[in-house]
Amino acid sequence: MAADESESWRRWLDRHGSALLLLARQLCHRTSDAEDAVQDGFVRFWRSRARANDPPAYLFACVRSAAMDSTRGRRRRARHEADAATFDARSSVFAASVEHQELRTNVESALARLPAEQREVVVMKIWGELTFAQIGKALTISPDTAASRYRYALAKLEPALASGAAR
Amino acid sequence: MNESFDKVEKDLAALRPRPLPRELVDRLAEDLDHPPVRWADRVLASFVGAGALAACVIVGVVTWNVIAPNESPQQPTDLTSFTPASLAAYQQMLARGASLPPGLVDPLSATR
Repeated sequence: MAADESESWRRWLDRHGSALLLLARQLCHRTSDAEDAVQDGFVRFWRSRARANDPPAYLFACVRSAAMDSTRGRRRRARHEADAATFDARSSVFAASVEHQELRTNVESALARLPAEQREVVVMKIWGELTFAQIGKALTISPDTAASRYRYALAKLEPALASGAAR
Repeated sequence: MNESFDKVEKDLAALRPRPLPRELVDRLAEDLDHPPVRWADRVLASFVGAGALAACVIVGVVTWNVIAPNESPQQPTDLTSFTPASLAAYQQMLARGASLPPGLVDPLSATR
């Protein structure tokens, strides 16, 4: 494989990797499952990206699909057992500085209370920086539905974050 | 989108998701920098291998025929055609046994 090809997928990963992992973490209970989903989804995206109309939307769709895939192979089960001990330490989904620790806790708990369909829209919009049109393509819903879910989610997150800030 | 939503969006965007672990990036590099052999290549390699094996077998058979041309196998002994010696013939052979090394047969035994 050419070096520029390798650099190319690394640029995509640098640009979207952390948001993809965050999205996968919204759908998978375990960190290792989410990482497997990112790996599978990203590889699937990279090998078939030529036929994507909107590559960023397709990338998020691939990882989401992989995260929802319930089949788990032997390789994964073995690794789950191996990293069971480190699961708790890696379970936080945000890398927060000391001054953002409280915000991080509030956001994580508020996100966890959202319905999954709203949570994934928030992740794609805020951290994936996708447009509503792209989110609609990734989730096979209309842009209006994506925007609507986003507004409902923010309406639920607002009091949670405000109360956290007031404490 | 109202103003309060802007504040929420700003708060959310202030947090950055965790970066991908190094191990995951390495796994992706393994998958993407060393792609698996294509199906068509595997089929071609299988045909080449099978052809080479067939050629070896043919050469082996031809060589064997050149080294050992039309060697007919030995006829098996027909056990049913075996006729045991008669008692008289046996005694005659014993009588001639004097020429044999001493102790091997008893030369007087034929006359007893």
